[in-house]
Amino acid sequence: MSIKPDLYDHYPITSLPRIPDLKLNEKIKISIPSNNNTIDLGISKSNISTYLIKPSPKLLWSHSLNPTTVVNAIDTTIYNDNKIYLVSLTDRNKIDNILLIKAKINDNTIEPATDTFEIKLKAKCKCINLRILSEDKYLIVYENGTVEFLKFENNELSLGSGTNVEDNKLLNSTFINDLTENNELFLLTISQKRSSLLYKLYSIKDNESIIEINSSTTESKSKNPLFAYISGILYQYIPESKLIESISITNFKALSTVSTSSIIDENDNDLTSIHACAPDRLLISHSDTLYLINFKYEALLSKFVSKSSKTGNFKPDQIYLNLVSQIKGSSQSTQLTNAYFINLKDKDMNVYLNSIELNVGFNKIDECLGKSINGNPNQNNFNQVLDIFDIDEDKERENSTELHEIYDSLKTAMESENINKWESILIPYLKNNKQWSEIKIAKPKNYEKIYNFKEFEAENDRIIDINFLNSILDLIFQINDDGLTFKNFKFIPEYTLMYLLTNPLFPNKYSSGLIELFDQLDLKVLLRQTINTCPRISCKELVNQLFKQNMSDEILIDLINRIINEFNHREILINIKQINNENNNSIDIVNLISNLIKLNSDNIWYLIEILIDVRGLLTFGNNENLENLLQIVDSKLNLIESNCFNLSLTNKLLSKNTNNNSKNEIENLLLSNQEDKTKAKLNNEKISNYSIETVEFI
Amino acid sequence: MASHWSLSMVTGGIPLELPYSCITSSIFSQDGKYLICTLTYQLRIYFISTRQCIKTIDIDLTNLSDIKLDPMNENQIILFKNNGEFLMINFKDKLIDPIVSQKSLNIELPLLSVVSAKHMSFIVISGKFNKKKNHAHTRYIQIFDRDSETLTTIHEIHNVINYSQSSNNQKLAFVTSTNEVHLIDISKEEEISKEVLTFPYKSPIISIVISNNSIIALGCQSGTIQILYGGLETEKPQRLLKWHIDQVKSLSFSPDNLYLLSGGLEKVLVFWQLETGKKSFLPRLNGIIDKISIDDSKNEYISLLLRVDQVIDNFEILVISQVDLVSRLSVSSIRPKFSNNITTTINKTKKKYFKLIDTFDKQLMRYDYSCEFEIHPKSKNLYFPNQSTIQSFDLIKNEQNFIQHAAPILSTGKVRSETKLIDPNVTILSFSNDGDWMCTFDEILTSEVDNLLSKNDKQYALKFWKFNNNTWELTTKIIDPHGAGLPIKSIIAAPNSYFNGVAFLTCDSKTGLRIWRPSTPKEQYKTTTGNKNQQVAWSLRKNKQSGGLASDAISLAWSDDSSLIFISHEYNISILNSKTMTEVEGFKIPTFSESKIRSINLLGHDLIILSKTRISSFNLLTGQLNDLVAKVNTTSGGKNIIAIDPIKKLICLGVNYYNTDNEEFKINSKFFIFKPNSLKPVKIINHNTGISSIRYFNSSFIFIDLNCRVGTITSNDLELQENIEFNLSNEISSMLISAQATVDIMNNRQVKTNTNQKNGSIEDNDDNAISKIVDLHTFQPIFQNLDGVQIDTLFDRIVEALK
Repeated sequence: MSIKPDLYDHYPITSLPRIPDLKLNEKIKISIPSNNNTIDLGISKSNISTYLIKPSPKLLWSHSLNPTTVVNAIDTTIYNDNKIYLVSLTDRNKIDNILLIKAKINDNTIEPATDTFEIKLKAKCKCINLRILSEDKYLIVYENGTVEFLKFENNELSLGSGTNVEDNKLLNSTFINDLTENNELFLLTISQKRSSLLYKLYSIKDNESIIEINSSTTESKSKNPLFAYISGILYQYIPESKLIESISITNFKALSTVSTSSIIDENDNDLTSIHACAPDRLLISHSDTLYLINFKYEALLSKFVSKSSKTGNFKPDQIYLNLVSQIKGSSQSTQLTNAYFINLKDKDMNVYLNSIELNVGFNKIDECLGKSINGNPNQNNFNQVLDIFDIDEDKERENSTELHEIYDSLKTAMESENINKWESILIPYLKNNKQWSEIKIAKPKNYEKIYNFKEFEAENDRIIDINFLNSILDLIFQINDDGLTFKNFKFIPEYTLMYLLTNPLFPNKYSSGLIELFDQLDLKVLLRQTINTCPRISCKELVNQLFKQNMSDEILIDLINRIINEFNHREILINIKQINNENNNSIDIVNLISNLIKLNSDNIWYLIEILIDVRGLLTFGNNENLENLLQIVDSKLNLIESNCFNLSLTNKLLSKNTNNNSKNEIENLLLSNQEDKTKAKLNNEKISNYSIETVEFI
Repeated sequence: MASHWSLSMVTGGIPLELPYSCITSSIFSQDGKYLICTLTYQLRIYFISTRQCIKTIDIDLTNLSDIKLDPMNENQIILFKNNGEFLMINFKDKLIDPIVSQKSLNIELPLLSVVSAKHMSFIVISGKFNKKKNHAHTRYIQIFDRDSETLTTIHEIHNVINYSQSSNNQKLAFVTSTNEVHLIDISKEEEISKEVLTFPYKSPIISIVISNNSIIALGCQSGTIQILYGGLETEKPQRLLKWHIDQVKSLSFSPDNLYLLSGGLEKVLVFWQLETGKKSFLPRLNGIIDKISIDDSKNEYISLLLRVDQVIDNFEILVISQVDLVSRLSVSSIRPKFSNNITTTINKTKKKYFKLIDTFDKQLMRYDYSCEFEIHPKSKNLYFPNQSTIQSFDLIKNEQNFIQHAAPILSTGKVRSETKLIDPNVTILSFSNDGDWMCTFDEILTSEVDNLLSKNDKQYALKFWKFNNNTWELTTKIIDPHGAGLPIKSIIAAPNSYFNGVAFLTCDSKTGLRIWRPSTPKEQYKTTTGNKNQQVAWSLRKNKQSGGLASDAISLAWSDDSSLIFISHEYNISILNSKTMTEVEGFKIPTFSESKIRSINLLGHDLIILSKTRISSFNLLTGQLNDLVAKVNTTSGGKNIIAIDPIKKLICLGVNYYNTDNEEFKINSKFFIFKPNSLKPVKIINHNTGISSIRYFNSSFIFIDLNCRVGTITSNDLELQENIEFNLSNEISSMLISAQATVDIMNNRQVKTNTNQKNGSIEDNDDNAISKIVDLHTFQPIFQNLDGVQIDTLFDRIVEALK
């Protein structure tokens, strides 16, 4: 089971007979399953069968067909102990029949068919959709768009009343019962008449009357559009433009359009099928892939590609989606469903009927973040950021080539490993010191110019497109399997990096792994800058760096300050524990603590507290460390004590001073307190306004 | 695309202060039935007995110095501006242009006030403005002859600190810096009599008033009132009246001269019976009493000008009856709390501009002028948190609805050292989408007065209020809702998809998040009968721990489907799953801005980010920035100048800039209406003042400008109208019914014809009756001579005509 929208867990139910003259979509018709355990199939030129699909696929019942008979449609249902199969067939002589089979159910098995009834359809017209309304009343939809009742009376099938005979080409017909609260039955038909599409919505009342309640004609946008329906919305797929249009069935007007051109390729020969699995969610099969799409958010939630396991010069597999069980997809209990598709494996030319489970999600935006169907169109395409006062409502943006020119010159500088040139372009431009026109004509000096480190200032510096920044960093860094590294180790524009590291816009893509990289290359200045200012470095990376050897005290203090200031106690603790676990408890916390104690910074005590929490005080092993810590605490207490005394003494002196300036009195006062050594010391020394006490680690 | 956008001002600004005039900013009409109030950009005429505003005249009244009734036409008033211009306005008749005439006095010095306006002449007082209190200047009494349009100075007094006139316009009193009062009688135009009274100096004189019988009262800074008697043959001892303990801001004599009325910082109106010195009080007024005036044309009423806001000069005009001291009318305007005093900061910036005229960036605002306000979805009132109070303002009536005290506070005015007491400050206000709930956050700083160690400690309180019969009831108060010392920086209401929107999300300065929802105690469920007022307590439901770094730059957004919560902290944005309150894995929002983020707003699947230096729009589905990225400088209250229209999918951004055209220096603004995916704006609208805050309500944008006016920006563009969401089930049902009806009719007709055929009858039945054309002429004869006709008869006649 999956908790995110996903396509998973696919398995074959059965393999289909090799019948080369039938297209994939004609091979099999599936009745909409009434439960999750069985499935009823009408396999052309083979049989009508019922399979158990859970826990593992198994044939329960079958009724063989004449090897020349094609199944057009199938519907099944269970009444009392009887299972009813209603199948539309066309035989070799193009004679259209409706076959009714009644089979007894015993426990979990279905007895072989005994009662079969057949009726020949008068109007030599295929029935391409049918529905069992009640035990003895059925509805059939003809290829020309006509709808008719079919009755079973006195052990005989007979045709009942119907709509007026039409002469259109029916493209799609769907039985609908999710429109009204009491699940009244409707029938939606879409047929083609010359170049126009005819939508019709019928109400099937009391199994007796067919009332047309809505119809509409529109210009057809395609020769062969595909349709899918769910909860009041009809989706039309137009193969020519690869667009999916949502259409309201109350007025048959298009609501919105989504383009699928980025996922469905140009190959028109491949079969496409579209089904709605839940409101706003569509399942599309094309070529060898199944796509789960959220229509509302235009997002590709998941896809499944059929791949033959063995490599070889095979054509891609083919997938044709037959049926999806529709669900609401709005809560935990209504997000899982099944889809059935035909899978043609090119490796062995076998055709399988497969089942796949899908999680359609909740139709919420969190499932669709960054999953747009149209991908990431304008990555690395950068523009100048306009000032809002330069924007005009009547004028389109004029595309300036300035940034591209800069990019190109930076690129050449990079390729020629000319750091000097690079630095003479980028920083002056970003710092808004010079216009590009000035920079362009300035000749780079031949000697090594020494640049000052510059920091980013939001108020004065140029506002740039973040994609431009990304592109520049693309020129410096690359990410390979080992993580972040420089593109060219001879080309490290230090000043640019120093500046960019102070800019909050430094992309996350290149900030993770940066500490590691600078540490390895022993770029101390850059490392320190990264630790101090580089945005969005994860707590883990920073904590990891703590345990590195050979770090200078300066960097260590910066590192500790950053960790303590930016993250809360819990987060740091969790990360240290994690690192400890990853290193099999081998990190030397004790050593780190003894290093930390030497430093003079307040924040180290927070960190020491956390470090003690990681393993607990008792696991410190040797008593020596505990002793040391105790000594620190003791020395601190002593300091506080003497400071406290000094302070009160000073206060006393000051108050005496203001009243009476006699030196003797002060001396008397001091002498009267000559019991302690510390106090005695003060006798000869000048008392300063403040005192500095350094912590000494013994 | 031609879109029709319009900007219109809805209110007229705040009541004017006329510092030299003897009236409050309002005047009664001659018959005493109407009160004419002056706001900065509007004249409002109230019908006193119904308290209703019957007419408004939009007119720029800045620099107004005085108002007088026109002695020649009772429907007209004369407005005097300090440059000498005077306008005759007809306030009563319905005229296309209410300005009847516009002339000028040709005056050199600023016109300060008008003593009297007569048929033939005006008596005016001019002189330099007092830039600071107790500056002394020369005042000139001048006569303007309306025939010859000439101005003659009849008298001048030097070193005048303050002056006043008697209600019959005949006596003037000038107090000078040399502790003298010059009493001038101008009743006889040819001959001006002058008397100089000296008085002992107690403390600086703040206010002065003179009665018709030459009694002069002086209000001191220290709170004493000195009474001097002028025009007497024999000297009468001067008196002191002591009750006030701080500045006496205003004084007035009752029409019969038996009482003196005084008011000051205490917010108490004091009545002194002059004979006996007995006092009576009207306490707890809404503001400091800046001016008291009693109009001759309606002398049973007292009008007071109350200063309700000290940061910007905002006033309320209160008219009370002398008889019962009950309020007859109160005129007030919106009370936004601007984060900086507008006039003083503009003057500072102006100085800077003239120093650095070449390098001055006019598009970079030096101070933040934003203010908080919200629109209550249910009552459609505007709510302005201001210090400890929340003002509810009815935009349709253009009147203050009520003032809600959101935090405890002294209701009396603060005097002397009490001014150091710091009031609680309501910083955030939010409504649930249905308008049933309000959530406020206030902070109280421990006052400096005590000078304790806890001096800098702040106490925070989160309060949940229920809307009940047009008032707000406090249901739950939570002290230090995010733990001690952690202030809430942002509150948003839950989207409707989350427990019907009855929840609030709060975020503290360290990005700790909490979701609050109401709960009804279980015992209450059992006793549902009768007791309607079930106790509801709001409690914490979900929690995300705080991070390490505190910041003021915090903003929240919650997706419409309630699945995602967005928090911006400094320049980073993180996404949380609202169920687990943990960060969403696998998708990170890159940093878009080099500077602090002011606000984030979600518009469908686009995230609109406004930072200190730029506005960006980010598509959450593609994970890429949209075209809408532009450089814009915003001040710290930047979140108030952007609003989102979630239905038409529009962004309205207001940008202020300094306008230095015509050698002026003021703030102007532009409104940009954007679509989230396009840099080309749908519309740019210019506004001649700066803007402070924008909100979206009911398909229009409502904004507050720096002149304390409310304006709206609306579009009547049909192209942008979104399809109204339909209820599928209902629509299908109605379609079904109509289809069934059609079928039934068809069937019935078939049945009928069938029966006819079966019976073989050939007679015309009713169904096939020839329809008759009915028009006006059919009925005309019926309705002639209707006198005395019974209704039955009339009915019969109509039936007859139709047959």
